[in-house]
Parts: sequence; structure tokens; C-alpha cells
Amino acid sequence: MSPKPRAKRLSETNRAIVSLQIDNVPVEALAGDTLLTAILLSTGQTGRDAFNQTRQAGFCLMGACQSCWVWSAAGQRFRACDTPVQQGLQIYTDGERLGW
Amino acid sequence: MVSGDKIVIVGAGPAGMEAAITLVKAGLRPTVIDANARSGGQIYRRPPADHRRSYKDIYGADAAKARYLHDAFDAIRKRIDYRPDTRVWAADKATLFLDSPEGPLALPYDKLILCTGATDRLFPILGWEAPGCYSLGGAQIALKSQALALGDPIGFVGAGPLLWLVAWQHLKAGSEVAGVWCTAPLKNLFVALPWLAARPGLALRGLGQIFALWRAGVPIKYGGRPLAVTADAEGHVSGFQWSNGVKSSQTPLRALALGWHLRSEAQLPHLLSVPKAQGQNRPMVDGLGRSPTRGLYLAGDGLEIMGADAARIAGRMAAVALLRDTGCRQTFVNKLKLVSDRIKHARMRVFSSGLARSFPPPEAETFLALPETTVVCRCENVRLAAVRAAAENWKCKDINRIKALTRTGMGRCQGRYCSATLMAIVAAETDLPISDIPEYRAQAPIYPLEIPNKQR
Ligand SMILES: Cc1cc2nc3c(=O)[nH]c(=O)nc-3n(C[C@H](O)[C@H](O)[C@H](O)COP(=O)(O)OP(=O)(O)OC[C@H]3O[C@@H](n4cnc5c(N)ncnc54)[C@H](O)[C@@H]3O)c2cc1C
Ligand code: FES
Repeated sequence: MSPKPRAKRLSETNRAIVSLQIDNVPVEALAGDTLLTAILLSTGQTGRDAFNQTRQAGFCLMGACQSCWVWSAAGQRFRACDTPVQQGLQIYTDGERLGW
Repeated sequence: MVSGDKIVIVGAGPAGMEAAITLVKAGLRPTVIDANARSGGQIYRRPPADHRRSYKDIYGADAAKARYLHDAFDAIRKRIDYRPDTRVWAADKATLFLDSPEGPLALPYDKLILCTGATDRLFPILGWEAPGCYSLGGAQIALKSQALALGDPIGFVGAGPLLWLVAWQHLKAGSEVAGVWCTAPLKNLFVALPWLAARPGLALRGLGQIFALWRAGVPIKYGGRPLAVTADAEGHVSGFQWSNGVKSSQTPLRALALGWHLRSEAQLPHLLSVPKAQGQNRPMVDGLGRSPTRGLYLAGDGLEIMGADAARIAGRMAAVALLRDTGCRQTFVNKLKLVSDRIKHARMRVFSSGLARSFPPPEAETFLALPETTVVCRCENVRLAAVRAAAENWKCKDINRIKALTRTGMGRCQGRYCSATLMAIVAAETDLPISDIPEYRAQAPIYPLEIPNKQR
């Protein structure tokens, strides 16, 4: 069971719906969301901290801290904060565990 | 008059956009490289195309300036070689190394204008590695480009103009603000008034934001010390503890944004061996932004934190310096414009020195009082105790040696979010001024690079 989201949309909720899967969980996001937005509003967490194994949830949102990495099914790595959502996308937040 | 020189601008924020516009006017065709998908830089960051909010909604009082720059830059798109989504990860005297959507590229150049902007300056709080802590800039980006509050409610801690601005922007956008905790004492603001008066409109706007937060009933605390970020059973941020020196308080919240003003993104000038300006923590340049390295110019917050208006002027001045060095003759009107730019820029420097006086980093005592288990380097999970041990009773004053021994600054963010901390800790422990503490040496790659699966 994923924890309930902490983030909240404040406006711009009338955009088209985009469906994707985060860690095999079906998630609905809006066109123009970043993957991080989609994650924070659903499963709530990105990858695991390499040392404490605690979850992360992004930090800088501007591509500088790199604590928001996610992976595609093929093992390609993205920063969730500057990658837009796409219909049908499957992403995994635990790439390091999966051996990528 | 047009020379065949290959001119490259790094950064499409106000400084880089204005430099490009100036060069195009003079008949040149610069290449503009920017990490973001859309031009605008930090302050004039554009949301993805699917967003429909008005300029006024997104940029508030800066809407007209944002629109002007976006339109002016869009108008020269065909007359420049614009490369969004592209990062410069290393540079030498004649080549930039790019991580671009087409893959890795080496781009030769003759002349280079660096307009790389800034990132948040951060200091650690016990427990700040928990998910739900963000940089102040990050909270603003969520709001501006995603219409998202990172937590509901969200709190803000730090010092600087951005602290008040971002808290106020959240309030205005309809987010619940749990509190604003400013580590600088309130009296600083009044002491700095003579300098802040150099831009009275801007100073009043800032004071108006503080007033509006107070009037809305947002808890505001001045001149204390952050104690800890607390987390819930899932490890996520759930509260913030603060001490005003006499007693401590605990505030529940679901996200905390931290920032103590900004720090320049100055890795590229370091890699290009630009010397430090005397007695200052910034690269050496002349009045127009010309560095001692031939063909290399710097402008905007990447050189000196002075804000968006000053960044635009600096971008223009650096472009003029480049044009002069290429032998382009300046018209009388252009010369007049330059004189007025220099005067305005000098006035803005007075204002930004007032901001630095109003919102200094926390006092040495704050760093001396940090618990040993505080994480100082988030990426490599290095705690204060390890830094203390490596510094061997502070005989070691070089943070580069501490880095070598403890791995601080070696992680994914490449030292962006711990360099100010390490310098402040060493300064506090050794009683030296921060300007005497050497920064991390920049190392390429300045961003981690992905080696695609198939090449492994
Ligand atoms: C998150 C954040 C929010 C801010 N918000 C405000 C605000 O609301 N109001 C305000 O007055 N000031 C704000 N500031 C201050 C702001 O930095 C300046 O006002 C202004 O944006 C500076 O303009 P610039 O052109 O120097 O740099 P920036 O606007 O920061 O632009 C620099 C650009 O260079 C790019 N870049 C940097 N390094 C590289 C590289 N190696 N390769 C490729 N591209 C690169 C960046 O992605 C960025 O697009 C903010 C700063 C930050 C960091
Ligand atoms: S949140 Fe910092 S790089 Fe994405």
C-alpha cells in the first residue's frame, strides 16, 4: 500500500488526463506534469537513498541534486523533475535495486 | 564587420537571453546552450506548454518583464543556434562538452559567455535528509511550473528575499503556509535600509510580502535557530522544531522548504582556470564581465548574486565587451546605453549588498551547536561527526582535504548543496572569515552522466 500524497494541486486541473504506470501501479496524471509531480501525487516517493535505504521525494526540482532518478523498463535513467509524463509510460523508482 | 568566430552562450536565463539578443542585433549568430527544456532561466521559467495560467498568475509583478524577454528571445530563435535540454558537463580552452538529446557532443568555440545562474545556498538541519524537505527554489519551481504545493501545509526556513517571496507566492496561490522561520534577526533589515533604499520599489515590495504573510496570520519567526526536522513512521517530514534562544517550538507540517539566499553556479569558470577576484568568492572579471582568460565573459547570478534585472544588464554588458574585442564599432546610442547600464548596475550592486546585510547566513554558533549526527552531505550521507574527525581538531582548513577523506561533495549533486556548509563549519570552528576558506575545486563532469545500457 503506497502512502497517501503530501503534495497538492493548487490550480490548472483542467488539463488532459495521461495514464502511466509507476512501479506497476496505474496512475493518472495531467498533460504537462513532470514525472515527479505524478509521483508526488500518487505513490509519493522516488528512489532509495543508497546509504540508509530510506525513500526520497526529490529536493531541488531543477535538475541539480539528482535525487529524483527513475528508470524506464529498458533501464534508461531519467530525472523525474525535468521529464514530462507520457501516455502509457512505465517507470520504476527503484532502479538501483533492480540492478540498473 | 561580422567575424567568423564561433560564439557560445551557456544559459538561457535573463543574462544569457539578453546577451544573445544584443549579439543578434550586431549581426552575429551565437549558439545558446541551456539545460532547461524552455528558455527563461530561473525567475522567468516557463511552465510546460499544456499549462494555461496567465503571465500575471505565474510571474506576478514581474509579468511584463517575463513576457518581454520571452517574446524577444522567441523572435531571435531563427537567428541563433538554440540548444535546449542540453548541459555543458565539462569545458576546456577551446571546447565545450555537451550532454544533449542527441547524445554526447564536443562543441568547439572561440568566444564564450557564461550565464549559468545560481542554485539555492543550503545549510543542514538535523533530519533534513527526510523525504519532504526541499530547496526553496524547488518549492517555487513546483508552484510556477506545475501549480503544485509540495506539502499541505508547507513551511519555509532560511534567510533571504526568496524566503519571503516564495512563502508569499504560496499563500497567494491558495496553499496553506505552516510558518516562515527566518534565521536572520529582524534588526538586520533596518540596519540595511540605507543600502536597500538604492531600489526603494523593490525594498517596499519585499516588505509588503512580509506584511501580507503576517496579516494572513502565518506564523513568522525571526532570528532563531532551526533545531530539527521530525519524520513520521514512514520516514517522511512531519514537523519542524525551532529555538528562539529561550524556548523551542514544534510545528506540524508536511513539507519544509529551506534556503539561505543563493550561490553562483561557478564550476565552469573554475574548470577554465579563471582566478578569484581579490578578497571575494567569485571569479575575477572587469567592469563589463570580461575575464582574464581571452574570449571568456561572465554575466548574471553565475558571477555575482544580484537578481534578474542586474543579470539582464550584465548579459548586455558582456555581449558589448565581446563585440568590442571582435573589433565591432559601437554607435553613439550604444555607447550612451552602456553608460546608463553601468550606472544602473552599480546601483543594483548597492541594493544586493543591502540584501546580503539583511539576510546573512546563520551565525557561527548555529554551526557549532549542530548535533554530531546531522547529515552535512545529503548525497553521500556524511554526518558532522565524520567531518569533525577528518578535520583533526581543525588543523585542516581545506574543505578539499575533508572531501577526500569523507566523500562530502563527491556525490550526485557534485557539492552544490554542501559546499557552503563545509566552508561555514570550518570557518566557525577555526574562527576565520568565510572568504579565507577555499571552496571545493570544480571537477568534471559537473553533472553525473548516464552511460547508456548498451554501452556498458
Ligand atoms: C530556483 C530559483 C528561483 C528563483 N526565483 C526568483 C524569483 O522569483 N525572483 C527573483 O527576483 N529572483 C529569483 N531567483 C534569482 C535568479 O537567479 C535571478 O533573478 C535570475 O534568474 C538570474 O538570471 P541569470 O540569467 O543569471 O541565471 P538563471 O536565470 O539562473 O539562468 C541560468 C540558466 O543556465 C542554465 N545552466 C546553468 N549551468 C548550465 C550548464 N552547465 N549547461 C547548460 N545550461 C546551464 C540553467 O539551466 C538556467 O536555465 C531565483 C533563483 C533560483 C535558483
Ligand atoms: S529533484 Fe533535484 S534533480 Fe530532480
